[in-house]
Amino acid sequence: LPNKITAECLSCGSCETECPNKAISEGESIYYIDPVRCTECVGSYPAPRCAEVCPVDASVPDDKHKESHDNLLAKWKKLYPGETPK
Amino acid sequence: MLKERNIDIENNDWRTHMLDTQVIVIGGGPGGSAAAKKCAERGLKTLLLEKKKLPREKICAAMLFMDVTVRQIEQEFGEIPSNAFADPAYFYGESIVHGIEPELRIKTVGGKKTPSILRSSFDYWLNQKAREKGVEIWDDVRVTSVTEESDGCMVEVEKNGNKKMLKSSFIIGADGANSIVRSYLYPAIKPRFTQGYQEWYEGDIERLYNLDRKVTHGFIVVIAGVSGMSIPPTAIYQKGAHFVLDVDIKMGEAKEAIAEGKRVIKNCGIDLPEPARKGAALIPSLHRELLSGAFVPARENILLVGDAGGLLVPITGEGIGTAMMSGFSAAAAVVRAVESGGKAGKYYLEEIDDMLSKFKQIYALAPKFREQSTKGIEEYMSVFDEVWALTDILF
Repeated sequence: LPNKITAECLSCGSCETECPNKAISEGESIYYIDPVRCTECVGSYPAPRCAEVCPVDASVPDDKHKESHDNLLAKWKKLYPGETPK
Repeated sequence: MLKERNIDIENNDWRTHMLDTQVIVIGGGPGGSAAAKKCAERGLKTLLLEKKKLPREKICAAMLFMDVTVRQIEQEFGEIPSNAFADPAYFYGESIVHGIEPELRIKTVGGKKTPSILRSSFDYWLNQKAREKGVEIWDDVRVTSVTEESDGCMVEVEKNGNKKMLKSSFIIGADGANSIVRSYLYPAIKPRFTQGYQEWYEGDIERLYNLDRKVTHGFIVVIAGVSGMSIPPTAIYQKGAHFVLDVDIKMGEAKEAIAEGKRVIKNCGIDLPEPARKGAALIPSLHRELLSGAFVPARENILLVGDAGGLLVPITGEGIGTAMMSGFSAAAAVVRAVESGGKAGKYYLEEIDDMLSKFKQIYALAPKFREQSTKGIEEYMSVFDEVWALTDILF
């Protein structure tokens, strides 16, 4: 399930700079994760990097967009054709 | 005082408006205001774009550590107004205690008087000064793309969902740590970031904890993380009716650094209340790329100032003074380019050469800083003092 950013967000932009998939951008008041590009860091990091670097735990799993590990990996492969996931 | 202007995007023909604008400054912080004011003073038609509604808050320690910063503000903008100062208006050094053994006082500095400001009022004062010189300021406007064409620079902006194209001869990117102008010029350059985290609490540290409100209070925190030992500078200081907890964080250590900082402070007998507000910001480091020439903070007629150009003092990350210096340099470069018909980028690199050579001397202490800070607190403190002493000498 891709992560989403809650109202706790302080708009520091840490998650945007660390996201390996360019899935995060600045919205009107807080940051926003594009569920199409978010792989929960499958293929790049052992755990979602945005959640790891957020000082206030504003990046949380999005229950509305549940996805299997295989799905997330397939998404990663589509983003980086020909590359080997970490 | 000039009247505020409200830009009506629907009814304003921005494109026509822009055809005779020479300089677009992106970002309304101290670097942007310095650049814009100087450009307007030299007779250039200058537009400053700010993402947020002005005046805006900015997460920052908001202390003018370098004497040269105050000197250039007074010289170029005049005396800082009293409403831009915090209360207390000055800090007289810092007191640093060992978090694990609070009775062990590592350092009590008298001496250096450091102005403590409120970024929202201070930055807004600089904006107003720039406006008085003829700079047009549009706030609450987001820049969505920057491109360079043979006949000028194009800036795409968005406000309330409406997009427009602006055109100018020069762009000065003063848009901070996560600069969109920099990412246009150098999509592959990725700075290393430190996070600055703050919690603001209501109350007075002197009344609550018997801490001197005229000094900043540092606490030594040590985290044995996966990448080795790190000592995130953690501090408490008074800002008017609030006091601030300020933690510098190595990316990826946010939770540990904040929790450990709070634990250490509690260990020192300070029970922090519920925060009235929280904030965080990014501090970029690009010195390796900047000093090796892998990253050049200008191309043709697009110039990067302040955090956008990685132009912070190495190691300490002090940035207001160097942002303003580079802003003035950018304006001088644009003026030279207009006069000679050449490109501003080349002149800008000449103008900031002296600052970069000073950065180089400070950055030479970086290996020592890394090495010493893994040894222990005393070693860390000693090299930190060395960096500040050198900074004071150079600037």
